[in-house]
Amino acid sequence: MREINKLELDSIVEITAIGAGHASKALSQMTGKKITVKFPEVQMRNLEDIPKQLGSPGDIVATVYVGLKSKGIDGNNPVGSMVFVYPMDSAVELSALLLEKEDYEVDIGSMQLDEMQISALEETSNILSGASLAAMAKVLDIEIIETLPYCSYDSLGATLSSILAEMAGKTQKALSFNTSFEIEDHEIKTYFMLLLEPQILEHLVDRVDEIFHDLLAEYVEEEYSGI
Amino acid sequence: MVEKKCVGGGEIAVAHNPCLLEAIGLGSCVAVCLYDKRQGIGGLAHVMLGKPPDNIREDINPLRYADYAIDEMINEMEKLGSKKINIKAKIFGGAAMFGNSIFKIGENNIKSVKKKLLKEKIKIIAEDLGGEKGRNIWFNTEDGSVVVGNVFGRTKEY
Repeated sequence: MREINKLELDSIVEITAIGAGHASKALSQMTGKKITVKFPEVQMRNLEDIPKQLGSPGDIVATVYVGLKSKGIDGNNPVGSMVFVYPMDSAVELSALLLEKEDYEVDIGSMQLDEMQISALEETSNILSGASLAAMAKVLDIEIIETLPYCSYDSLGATLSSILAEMAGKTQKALSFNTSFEIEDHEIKTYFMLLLEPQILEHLVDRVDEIFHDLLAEYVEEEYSGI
Repeated sequence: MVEKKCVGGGEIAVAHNPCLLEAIGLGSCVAVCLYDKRQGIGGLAHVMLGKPPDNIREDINPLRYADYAIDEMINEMEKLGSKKINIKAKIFGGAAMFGNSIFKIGENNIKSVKKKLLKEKIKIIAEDLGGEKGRNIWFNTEDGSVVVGNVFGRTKEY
């Protein structure tokens, strides 16, 4: 993988920020609450170091994994994955907030999630990933298909390492994007992370360069046509 | 208070002195604990992946793989005075965190670790593998005992 320059990285951050903005709008509609989104933090990191950005490996979290694929001539190709990490108390509170409307009582004191809560978190993650991917798909010029969401509640290290291991044979480092949402009146935090397969990342950087060059050419042309 | 050392994914640690080697948040990864009772030398590898491809990409940390990590650990233990014939193994982890439907990594890791230990003629004297829950482990190199716990508070000694 070649080095990504500052301009390319900034463009990628911008694309993910648009995605995060769309996702927060969707979450706001679902919950009827105001959502604050943190500007995404994007960095190339060793896979081993990625979980450290979200907390300590022993923290209890609910992690939802959504696999991303693209349709190709030769079947579906892996694009990467979108990972949502809900610290346990946030997972309980968010699921209660979502299930409230369906008159389902959630035991706030419990550190275990029941099936209804898990499916509420999976469903939410699915909607959030769908909302946030449109901008990325447009830039990549591919159709992104999401797999079913899978939830696991356990320690941060255990849940994330399984997802990261899937990439560990292909790359030493990955560009990880993470951001968090906060819901008004609630202590709910959601981290969300996009991991791209190495060849997709390369394609993304190429596309960013292409688009930038096109824009620059257009601009220069306009400048000169006035003379 | 004995020294404590945290061993993250793709890392190994070897200790001659009494030391608590810990691996927190083991999911599909496998913790391989090797112990030479005679010398009181212990090592822990936090293995992320099973069989390496024929030509592993040079920028990838080789200790992510079972074969390389176990080789390196035996090497370091021998440097400290261990004889391979005295080394025994306890292995933990390899869970399917998201069910068996999507990731087969835990299962593959277990297979690779077992195969490698068999090849090196190192006997496995205790194990706690598979399942769908993560594990935390603490390996005491003073007596070779390993405490395995999960985030929900259950612990068991091996």
